[in-house]
Amino acid sequence: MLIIEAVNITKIFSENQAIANSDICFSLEEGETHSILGENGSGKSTLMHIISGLIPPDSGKILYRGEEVFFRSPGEALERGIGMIHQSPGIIPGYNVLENIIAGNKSIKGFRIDRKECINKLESIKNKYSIHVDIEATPDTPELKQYTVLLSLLYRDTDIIIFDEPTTSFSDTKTEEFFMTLDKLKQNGKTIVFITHKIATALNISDRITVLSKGRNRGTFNKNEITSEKILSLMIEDYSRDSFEAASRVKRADTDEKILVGENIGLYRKNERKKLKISFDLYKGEIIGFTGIRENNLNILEDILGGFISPDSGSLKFRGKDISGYTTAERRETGITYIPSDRFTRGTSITSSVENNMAIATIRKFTRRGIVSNSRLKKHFNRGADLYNIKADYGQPLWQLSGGNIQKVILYRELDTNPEILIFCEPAWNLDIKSKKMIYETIRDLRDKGTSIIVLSTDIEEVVDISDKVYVLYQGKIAAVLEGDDINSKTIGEMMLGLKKQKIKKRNRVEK
Amino acid sequence: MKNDYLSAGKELIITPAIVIAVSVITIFSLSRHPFQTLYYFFTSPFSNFLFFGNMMNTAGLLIIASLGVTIVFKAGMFNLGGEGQIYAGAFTATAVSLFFPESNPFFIIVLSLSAGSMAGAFTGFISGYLKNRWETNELISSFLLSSALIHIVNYFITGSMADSKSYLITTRAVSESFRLRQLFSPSKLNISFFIAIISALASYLYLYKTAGGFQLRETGKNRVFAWFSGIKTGYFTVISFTASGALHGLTGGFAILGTYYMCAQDCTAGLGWSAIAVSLIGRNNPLLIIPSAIFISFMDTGMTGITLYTDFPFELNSIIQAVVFLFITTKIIKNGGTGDKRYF
Amino acid sequence: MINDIFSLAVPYILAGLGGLFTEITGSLNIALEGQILTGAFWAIAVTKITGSIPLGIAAAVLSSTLLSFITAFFSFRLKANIFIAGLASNMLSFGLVSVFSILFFGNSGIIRITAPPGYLHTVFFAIAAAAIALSHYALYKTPGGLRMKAAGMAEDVLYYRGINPDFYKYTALLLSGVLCGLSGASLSFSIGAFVPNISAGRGWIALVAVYLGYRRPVGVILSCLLFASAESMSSWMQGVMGVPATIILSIPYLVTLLVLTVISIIRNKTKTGIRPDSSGMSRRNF
Repeated sequence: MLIIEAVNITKIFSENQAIANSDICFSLEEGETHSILGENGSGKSTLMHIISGLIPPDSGKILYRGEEVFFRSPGEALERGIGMIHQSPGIIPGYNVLENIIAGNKSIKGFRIDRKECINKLESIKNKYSIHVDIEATPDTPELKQYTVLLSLLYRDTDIIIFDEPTTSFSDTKTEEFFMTLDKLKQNGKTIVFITHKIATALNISDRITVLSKGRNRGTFNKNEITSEKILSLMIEDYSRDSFEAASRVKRADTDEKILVGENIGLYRKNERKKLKISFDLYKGEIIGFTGIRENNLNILEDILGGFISPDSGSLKFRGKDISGYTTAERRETGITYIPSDRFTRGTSITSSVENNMAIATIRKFTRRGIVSNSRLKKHFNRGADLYNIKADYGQPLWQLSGGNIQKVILYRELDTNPEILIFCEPAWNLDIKSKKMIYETIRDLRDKGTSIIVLSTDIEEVVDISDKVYVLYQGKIAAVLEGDDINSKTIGEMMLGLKKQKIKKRNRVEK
Repeated sequence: MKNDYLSAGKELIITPAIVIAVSVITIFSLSRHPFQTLYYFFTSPFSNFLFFGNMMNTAGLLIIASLGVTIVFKAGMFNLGGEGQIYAGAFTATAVSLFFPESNPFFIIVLSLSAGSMAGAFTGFISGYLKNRWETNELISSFLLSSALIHIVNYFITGSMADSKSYLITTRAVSESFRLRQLFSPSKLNISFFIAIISALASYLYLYKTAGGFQLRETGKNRVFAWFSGIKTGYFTVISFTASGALHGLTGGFAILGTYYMCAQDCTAGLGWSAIAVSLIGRNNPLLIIPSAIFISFMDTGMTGITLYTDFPFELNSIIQAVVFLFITTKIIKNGGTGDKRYF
Repeated sequence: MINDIFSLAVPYILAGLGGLFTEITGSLNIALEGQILTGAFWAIAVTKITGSIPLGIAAAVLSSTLLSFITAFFSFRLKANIFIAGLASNMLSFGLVSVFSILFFGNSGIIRITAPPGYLHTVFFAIAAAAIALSHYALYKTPGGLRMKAAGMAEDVLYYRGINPDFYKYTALLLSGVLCGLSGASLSFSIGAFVPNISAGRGWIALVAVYLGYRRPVGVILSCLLFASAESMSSWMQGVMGVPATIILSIPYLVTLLVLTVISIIRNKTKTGIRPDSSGMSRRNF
């Protein structure tokens, strides 16, 4: 039986006139697991935001069990048992799982919190769906955030649960565990919508698959009716397969020039539970990748490399000169640029115009006797727009741009100074397959021209794809240094979670 | 930017319309002779040189003060200390001009104004410095400092500086030769209005055309990113607060030398708050602040007019002004999408 | 002396708790000042007219809540800038108090009532104590309190879960009205009269107390006691040392600023790492 039917849904965002959904029809059967496949920006999240009441459609209607409904808020959709869990779901800061659930459930009323009753009910839910979560913990990992919201929805007996790329930042084991939970949900009669861009995942878990591309529905298929090649061709028209398989890894000899050397970089902050102690070498014309869990590993390293924190001990030597005390701007002048993982807080000013974001770091170049020259700014803007094919207007605020274009603006700004070293965090942040390819090619080109690149990424596959050498971080230390054929996602995954340890070769350890 | 002016333009037409409607309704419900009251409310600001000139004069003071609010706002902060900074500026300017004998008026005027400005600047500097050095909440520190200043100034006015001959609580009046010349006698309109306009233009050019202004605005938009991009965010934090204090102090100085001629207790009270309103209505844009200030000043003068000419009690003024303030930033007026709740 | 501090602290504590509720829901309510003034006036006015102190207290609460409703309605329903709306409420309060004063008593000066009984002092002390206990309970032990704090920290999350954050913002602002009404009543009953500008910056100081107290009930109470001590100290200085009254008035502000600075220095020392301060104004839209 059809539980939800969306008919001719169209949505155009007024900010950038982007057509997010164009005349989409979509149906959901009770008890099925339905995947929505598409690239970033194909409109899959928008469609689900409409169905879950977060945004209203411009036209079209939604039927719930055959009856036309109009949700003015997520709350109204929840009343009908439709709940959505966003990609990085919001949780209430400082609240533990239990408090998050109590605060987020209207049904819990009165002048006293009956903790016992809530806990009992949650325990029975946890058992029923085999969810292993400590409800007294503070949800600070992506997994725990997902489970918190899931528990909250299950607490109010939500029938239809929409997941938006939930496993993006999960480790492999956690992903497996999560799929088990999905299975349990299905067994207990829940209807599941699973938004993803991973074809294999979709084929693995779903009963039916709907493919979206450029805001249009390219068809809904039963799982056994369709192949991954077919889906791929529906998702992207001009997709060529040979793109970024098997990276041509460059191996550097010990005699080559070491451009950046980190010696025993240490940081210890007890109250913030931050701990780091690492050493590494970066040769000229090489891409090294750092991977690990973001919390307590990559983020501290990023702060140190980017100049946001000075390490407590050790040194960071650029051509023999210690730069660990330099600020980001001073590093940029020395020839080290940094693209932060947090593109919105550190990497851009989203309320500023595109050209301001491009020129800010080098504003002196566009100034004559203290006056900012608009014509020079415009020239600079046009050059960037041509060079990187940025779709934006002069004067447009940055937040109106798509993720890919924002990324290009940042790249243009940071590469315009011809850096010797590029520290690139999460290169594929919020990008669709095509833009990702372009970014990877840019990185390789830079390396071939002699720039050294440090990639910090939580995405194992990305690190495997582009690095010449991979450093795996575990609990603030380097768990492994992998080169050549040793670089593969399985090994990295195991090292990253501390399941396996590498005997670090003497060569990679830099002694004082 | 263009969009900003367009919607601001719309707003500048719709806002007065709403305000007029609101005032008409309020006057009708409060006054015994509504038509007469209304007539004076709208015509008195234009009825003679005295009223018109005073209206423009007040507008000038408001412009300078709200530029002070704006410059801090553009740097991403808020200066709640306007009241005290203006008062301190007023007092310091008075003290300096009372101290010197009648020698070179021009020199003394400039000296008094600079002294007033410096007094404000110093107060602003403290808040800016605390903010930059230890992240002390600037909203609170500026307010506290300003409140303390008001009482300290009152201490001098009621104590050692008091004019024993006056029945008011005030200092002595500054000598005739140090007073700014009235351009539209008998109104108080003086050179300060034109200095205000020039300051607004200069602020606009600084904020929107120079590298310094560019960096200041970027600091306000995203501090972390500005620092990341090599902007000295600390410098702009301190300098904007200092400049804000200086502008407020200057407002106080002009208020004494051009309008009040003596520093009576609470003579500049309310100017700082109105300046915040002017600045917010003018969208923190130095150019839009000019009409916004004139508008608020028009309201003020209309109120004075009706208390003079009709039976409308003085206390009702603050009610009308309050109702106008309530409506002035509401969504019925604002039709831009900027204030919309964006949940994702 | 201690007794003196505690009784001086009562109006601060009541208003401070009111400010705490609004701050917790993320609204900057600068109208506390006007709410206190309104409460103080109506408490005396109604008591003088009816002769009943309980009715006076009720009128104080009602009038102040009404005023807070105006701020809430304009800023939440009509999306006015809450700072301007608060400023307007303060002006409105001042205007209305003068107008009604003229209407009822023929002038806008001091209004005296026959000295209220001595135990009233204890009653307000009890009210303040009860308000502390109830606020703490409401904020930490009830689902509503959890949601109220959530409305300030992450209103979007509540919205996603089908809960209207505005409801909690309204509730908090109205609660601040109730508490400030009581605060005003305690103020005017303590001297048995309404004096123009009786609130004398207490609303603002209460707001500062909320910041100083890290937005926690205990912290707010301690900050309020600090202000009360400063006030008590200054009146002692005035009486014993003969320091002029005007300069005395500035002492609470200066003491607060000093404490604020010390606190921020300590807080800044324990915080580590990240170089540029990211505080800015992200939480509020002016």
